[in-house]
Amino acid sequence: MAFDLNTLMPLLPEIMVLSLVCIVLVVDLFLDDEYRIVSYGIAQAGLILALLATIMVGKGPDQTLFDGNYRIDTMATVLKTSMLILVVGAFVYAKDYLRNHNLFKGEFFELGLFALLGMMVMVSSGGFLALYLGLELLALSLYALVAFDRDSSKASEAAMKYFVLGALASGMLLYGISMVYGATGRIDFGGVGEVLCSGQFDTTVLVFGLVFIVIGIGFKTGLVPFHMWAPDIYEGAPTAVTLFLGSIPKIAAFAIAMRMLVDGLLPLHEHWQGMLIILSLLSMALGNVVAIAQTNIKRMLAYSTISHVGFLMLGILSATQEGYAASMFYAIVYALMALGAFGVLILLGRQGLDIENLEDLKGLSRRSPWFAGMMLLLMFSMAGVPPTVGFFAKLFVLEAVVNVDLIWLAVFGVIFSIIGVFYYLRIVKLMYFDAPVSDEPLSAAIDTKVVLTLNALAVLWFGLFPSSLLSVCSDAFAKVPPAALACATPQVVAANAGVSLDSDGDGVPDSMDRCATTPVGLRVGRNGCVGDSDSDGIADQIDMCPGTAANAVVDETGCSPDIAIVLEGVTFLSGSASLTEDSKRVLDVVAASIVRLDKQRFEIAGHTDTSGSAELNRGLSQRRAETVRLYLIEKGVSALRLVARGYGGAHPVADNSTPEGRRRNRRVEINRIR
Amino acid sequence: MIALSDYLILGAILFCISVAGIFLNRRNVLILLMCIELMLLAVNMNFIAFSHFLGNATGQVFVFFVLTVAAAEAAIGLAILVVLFRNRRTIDVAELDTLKG
Repeated sequence: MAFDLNTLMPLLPEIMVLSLVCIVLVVDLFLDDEYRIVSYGIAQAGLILALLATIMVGKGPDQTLFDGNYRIDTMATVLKTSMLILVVGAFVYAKDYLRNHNLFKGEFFELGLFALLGMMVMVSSGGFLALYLGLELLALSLYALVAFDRDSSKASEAAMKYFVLGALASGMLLYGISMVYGATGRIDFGGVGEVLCSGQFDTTVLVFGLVFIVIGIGFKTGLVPFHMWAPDIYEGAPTAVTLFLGSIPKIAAFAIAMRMLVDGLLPLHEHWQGMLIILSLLSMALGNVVAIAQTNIKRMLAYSTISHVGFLMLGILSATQEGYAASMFYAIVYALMALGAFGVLILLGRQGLDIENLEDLKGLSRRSPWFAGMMLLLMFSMAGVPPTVGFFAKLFVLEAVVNVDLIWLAVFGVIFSIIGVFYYLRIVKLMYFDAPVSDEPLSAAIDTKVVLTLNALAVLWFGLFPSSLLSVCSDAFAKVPPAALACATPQVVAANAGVSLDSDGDGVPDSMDRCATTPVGLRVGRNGCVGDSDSDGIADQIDMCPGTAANAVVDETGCSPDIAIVLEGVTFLSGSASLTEDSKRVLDVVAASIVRLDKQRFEIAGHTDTSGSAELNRGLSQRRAETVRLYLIEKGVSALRLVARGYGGAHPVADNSTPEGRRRNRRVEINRIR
Repeated sequence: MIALSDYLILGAILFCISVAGIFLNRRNVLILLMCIELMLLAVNMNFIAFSHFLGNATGQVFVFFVLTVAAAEAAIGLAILVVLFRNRRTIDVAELDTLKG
């Protein structure tokens, strides 16, 4: 495996984020405290550039890099794009908070960017190793971020708890991975899937490993009964950090569940489906019920997260394309809503003071009707009230479980979400119907207000036009087979989906394609075949020698590999170097053929008969060869691969004394340059 | 000849000891850090055993990464421990109860 530009280009967004961290790290060293805003500015500008790079790379085809350990596909691109946008928003919110609390240090942005890099690696991982490394990069950055306010006793306790439980989760996950490795001998998801489909593995070991992997996912995403850390960490961490770790990593959590369970372990679907049903049911129940009892708004949002993650898992466990798309929609939408909700808390905060209790929201509508309205939108969306996007997120995942006949699960989901409406609407009640505790106007910076407004309006906009985001999510899973067909061949999967597969991409479906392996890019007839008049296996459209004898050995050019290729039919008007129309048709074929033979270089040799002066003949043959070369370049052959040379009459192939012999000597040859 | 299952049982025992240590330990945060380290080593034992008996080196490569990450993890854990001790003057697990989890 070579590390050339082609393998590294798809990694451009990750490389840019990594370089960005290094730049911020170094620049920040030389800044005085009052210029700290420069680090922030660099971080934001770099994020925008990385966003552009992600979109650019995403336009290319799906790719699997580094022996299957890294994947660039639609899911990765869409998730990375949304994460980058949300991190920009999170940094805007965080800036105000950090300033008010004397925490405005470059380290916040560095750690945040490292966490982002970890998440980008997680969503693109094609194997357990890449996934584990991304996960740890995220986790280690978050541990440090939680302890960011180093003089806060609460924050350091939260960091310690987060660290111990996070490390425990990593350990569980790794133990599971080691079992999967032991059972299959592979650590890339593609390879694991292949082995599982071949049936040559030890089921006991594998299912044992799967249990630990699901527990690891449960810990990392905060599913009940592995949720204990979430409320403490949400409460203890500085609000700017809670904002970060409570929103964007949920997208990455969705991605690792998808990568491991669907990309890697889809054939074990019936085993992990049951486990996820239990976890998600418990999460929805406990999250929504316990949230009611909270008076601290950050703890309340933590329990709300737990219930939302439970909902998110519904889509994955349904193991259908619609289910995956619904979950992805949910993950992105939830991150957006959580970002906005914590953004409001930061907006309400004042110098050195945190908004912690529900009481602090009292009477917000009188202090700032506009932002009370924004908070109203966000709370409605979290509760799942139409027309906000939260409603559609819930609707789509419930639809997905109903479609796989888990109606009872959907019913429980609806019941628990109705219970959940209570505590979201309580906030609305506090904002609109209670008297404010203070009349201080909001002191946040204008950019925070603008971003918060955009954030809340996005929740409304995606609610009014959910298909704009949902179609993007659906595209990401168009090629993932349903769980029951995890090991079926592509043909069976396609037949089952009611579409016919076209494995050679020639536009003729396989069922009607009598030549199912035509090379890419050729025009084919209605039976899917290409004409090959000399039956040498090279289609006429790219055959430089369309008249080779039967049974002759030919290479990819369609000619015998040993002799020079004489371009039969390339003729010129007498004494001139202009191509006749017939010759152009022949040369079109030659060009199509050369374009396919990547890297092989060719000499175009012009020859004449011996009538006329040798000097004149050499000049004429040189011009004719040049004409052919230019024509081929015009048809798309790289100029570097072609050399033109005129030989005059120096190399006759026939007797120059007869007209027939002279005709054969006036020719253009193409020679392979070795 | 030591069989694969023997190594796996050893790995499982080490893993159980470490998990039990995390949940039962009520005295000292340092012991939690040791348990976490032990847990990763148990996993490494599994990887090496599988790698040897499958005759494929992937598991050993994985172990190198796990060891590196474990070192970074220990560094962060100890840093948090120092911050915690400065704020609290104690590293007793039982006293980590300001936040009700």
